[in-house]
Amino acid sequence: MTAEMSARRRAVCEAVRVLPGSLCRFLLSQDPRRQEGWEEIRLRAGRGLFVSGGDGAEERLTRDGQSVPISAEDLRQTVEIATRASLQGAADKLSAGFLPLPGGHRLGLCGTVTLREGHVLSVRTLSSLNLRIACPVTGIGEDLLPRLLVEGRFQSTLIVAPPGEGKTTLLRDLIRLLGLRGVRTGLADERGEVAALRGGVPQLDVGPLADVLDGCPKGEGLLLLLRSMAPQVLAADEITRPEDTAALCQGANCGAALLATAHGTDWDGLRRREVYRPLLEQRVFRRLVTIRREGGRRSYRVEELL
Amino acid sequence: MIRLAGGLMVCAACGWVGWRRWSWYRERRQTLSDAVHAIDRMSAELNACQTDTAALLALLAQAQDRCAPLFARCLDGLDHLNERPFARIWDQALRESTLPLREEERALLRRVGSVLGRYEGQEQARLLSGLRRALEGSLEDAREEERRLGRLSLILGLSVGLLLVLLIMPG
Repeated sequence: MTAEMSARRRAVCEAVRVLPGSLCRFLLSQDPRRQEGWEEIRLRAGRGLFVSGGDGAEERLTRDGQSVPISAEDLRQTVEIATRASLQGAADKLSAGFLPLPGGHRLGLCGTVTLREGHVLSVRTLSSLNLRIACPVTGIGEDLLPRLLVEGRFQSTLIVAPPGEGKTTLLRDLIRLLGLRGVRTGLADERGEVAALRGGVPQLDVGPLADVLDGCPKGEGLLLLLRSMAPQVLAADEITRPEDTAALCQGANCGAALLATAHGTDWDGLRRREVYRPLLEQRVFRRLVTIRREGGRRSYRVEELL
Repeated sequence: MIRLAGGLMVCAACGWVGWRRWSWYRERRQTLSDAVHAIDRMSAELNACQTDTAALLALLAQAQDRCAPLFARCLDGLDHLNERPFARIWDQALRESTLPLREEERALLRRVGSVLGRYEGQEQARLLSGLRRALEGSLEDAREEERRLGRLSLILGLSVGLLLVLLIMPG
């Protein structure tokens, strides 16, 4: 068993503690080799318990040949455990449709929503839950980081890859490594996927010098960080809106280096999209990192942008 | 001499029973007053700060009143949420706290466990206000009963004791 596989199993054991005792015990009693492949565990009221791995295919779990019964009360109790019987403290996360858990795991919620002035206030009646198991990988940026430095200074870098290829994981590791080198990063973590703050504490390792703004729209968040935390590097995950690119340009003009991710495959692809044009015209980024999957392993290609 | 001592003991015992009854009325009134005050604090915290349930329970467990042990037990019970829902943790804590209350008053307090932590903060505060009004009504009744029946119980106890002494001790 490799170190990464046992880390996955540890992550599963940690994540399932959010479930009611009987379900937790049932899942932990499953074949450990099967647990190694679990990335998501779904509870669907009236329909059963499902697990899925990296390929996304779902498997229904059974007990004595029967589907494991999942009731609406099981879902409600899971949320109660996840919030420690404090739905009031989780209101902002509920409106985003998920709850952060210790260890960086995440509980996605689905059901009948409550709206207020046209916006989702919370999920009122639950129909299904998705327990996403985080298994953070550290060290993937160690060989890459020296290529992003010039005379010890971090060069503004954009990480580009299709969805699910590891942009967020690489972003997190680079922030961590920069922190270990004494570089202060301001991270606008709009969806809470990079640092996974819980009670103010990052559940995923972003290093000692990362200042995290959680739950704030990136455009506004980056400007707040610039004004209040004096970052040496400004970081954000998934630049998608004009406000995001405007904030990044402003950050670059204020002397901060940038570290961001975007969906795409290469520089030419980004150039064709309107939202990235200001970044290209102002030559904000000096390095482009593209992630490719080759033979089951990820490879990182660094391009110097002139 | 022995008869006199025995008579005094009978009198004292009956008086003690009466006094215990009077104490119960007084403690019931004080417990209800403490419960109303606790709900007021909960509502204020939830309205103002959306204070989480653990912090609320910790705050109320530190109060020097009759309901503090109830909240302390509930706080401990939060570590077992994966085995029992919060409403049952609250129920059990209420049973173990042996508060001097009537069954209908316990039923009102039991409903707090079905509200705390289950809704958005202001909604919880609204529901708790409804329970508070009902408890306030019970508190008014308790004050009246303490005033009317409390002292009567003590006097009745002593009177019964004296009567027994007169009956038992022949001329």
